[in-house]
Amino acid sequence: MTMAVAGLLYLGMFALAAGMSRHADPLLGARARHAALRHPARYGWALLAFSFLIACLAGDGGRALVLWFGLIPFASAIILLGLSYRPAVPRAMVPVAMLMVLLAPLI
Amino acid sequence: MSALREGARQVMAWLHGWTGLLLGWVLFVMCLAGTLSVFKPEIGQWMRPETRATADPADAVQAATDWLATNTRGSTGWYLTAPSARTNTVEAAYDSDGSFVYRALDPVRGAPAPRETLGGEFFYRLHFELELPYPWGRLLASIAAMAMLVALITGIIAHRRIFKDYFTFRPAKGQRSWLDGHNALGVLATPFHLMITFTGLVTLASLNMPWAISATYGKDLAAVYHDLAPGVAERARANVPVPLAPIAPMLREAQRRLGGTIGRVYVINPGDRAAVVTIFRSDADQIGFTPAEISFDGATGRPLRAWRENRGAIQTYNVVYGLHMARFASIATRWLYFLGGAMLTLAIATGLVLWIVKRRERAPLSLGNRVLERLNAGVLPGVPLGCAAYLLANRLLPLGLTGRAELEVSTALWAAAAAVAMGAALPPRWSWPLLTGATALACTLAALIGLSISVMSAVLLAVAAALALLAAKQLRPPKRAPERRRRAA
Repeated sequence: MTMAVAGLLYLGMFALAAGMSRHADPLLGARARHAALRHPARYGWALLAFSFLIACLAGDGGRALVLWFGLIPFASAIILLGLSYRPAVPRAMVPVAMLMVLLAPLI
Repeated sequence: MSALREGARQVMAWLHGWTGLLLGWVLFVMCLAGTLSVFKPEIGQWMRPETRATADPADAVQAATDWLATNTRGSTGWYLTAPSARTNTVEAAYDSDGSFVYRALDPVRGAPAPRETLGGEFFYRLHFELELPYPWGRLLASIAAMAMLVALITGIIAHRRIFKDYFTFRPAKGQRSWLDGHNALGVLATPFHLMITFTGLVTLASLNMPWAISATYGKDLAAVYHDLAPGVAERARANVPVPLAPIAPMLREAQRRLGGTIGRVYVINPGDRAAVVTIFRSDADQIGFTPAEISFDGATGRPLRAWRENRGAIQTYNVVYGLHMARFASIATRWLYFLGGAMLTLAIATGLVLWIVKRRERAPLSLGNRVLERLNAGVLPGVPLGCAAYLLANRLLPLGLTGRAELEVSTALWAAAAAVAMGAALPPRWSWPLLTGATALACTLAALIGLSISVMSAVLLAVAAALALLAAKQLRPPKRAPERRRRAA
């Protein structure tokens, strides 16, 4: 459950960053012109809301919700530091986050 | 309209700067100590490498009370915390012959750990008592927490582009980089910063706003405590010596009736006919603090009174308090608390540096600002140096030394004081790298001496490496290029 929350939250933050004109190029590159990726920020807010919803429904006495709030600076820091020093890192984290979301129901 | 908005923003920026400046150094100490306190049990365990034994919590508390019964005199109370998955020792605070002491007790023998130390308790106490006598330390801490809340809110309002610059950090650009860094450290973890500041304030609220309590209860503090924890039985001392009944069966009975695991165990009037043993359910089982407790007659082991907290207002307070203490947190959440705390500590440090950088780039510094610059150079690297010196003293001071635990604390305080003196005496371009380098060295030595292979030693080495890099960077002469580029633009 926490894995899905973390993965979705990262993807959401990544999409929000990719939706900013200054960061679109280092994060998406040529893919920014792809029709499906025209409005990354919308996906970003939706993914964040979805991960928040999962955290709310986790039914573990609020622990997942605390984790959700704690993960925001962690995910954001990976993207912010990556954008300043090594954009490949936040990009490489995208498939990792996707894998986390996909594997979460199996664990 | 926009002129008004701009004016309001400037006022907010002014207030943000001054609240941050006035209590910045106190807040820096509080935040650093609080961040380290997240790992209070783990730090304690690392600081007692000789004490490796583990035991079932009930057996460990039994061993502790057996030892205390024969080795204390005239105690009014023993306040114990049972071992958990995070620590193997029984934490004991108790009085003997009129003096109050804190010891970590071996879970099998019940005697104090041979390496006498406060462990993580030092950072925890420093966090809200600032090594000052009661109630001044707590009062200063609560005033600083109020200033922190003001600084956070004014900082959010004063920020011009809070969403647009959310992911922005432009390194190696002088003042611009300091501002970007300060903003990122503050903004990325805003929810955490607000939560930890507010919950911390509420924790100390009965100290700086006692009127709600005094209006209802007057001066009757015993009634307050009774209403807060009705499962605690209070009895006056009978002054008839009766040995304490075996405590392990009481603990097992408590575990059966309260559910979850055992947390704290209080023995009031030990060795007396009126002895009371109160057992609290572990605070790690849920976010809310103090969820249930049960009291036993100490002489017979018969249950006296039990309580499961279900009053809304108290539970709300317990959740607020529990959120601050983070005892409920899994290992991942604990590291995220550590990250949030570290970001707040660094936000304060960068804010204090920014005050100087901003003024230095405009005009030569005034005398007052030169004093602040040197205070920064002493305090900001000096407080971490004190923390590192505390850990190093733990490794170097011989076992069995009288007042060993207090000596560790003195080492920390003297190291920090020496750093502040050095910051005042030397030009900042020398004191910064020297003190940062010294902290890196102290961390390295603390990690390597004793050769204990542990997560904490690895973290210390990583911190040392980061600080060594920082010190090397501080030694290089400042670049002039960004300023020229700014003027040309």
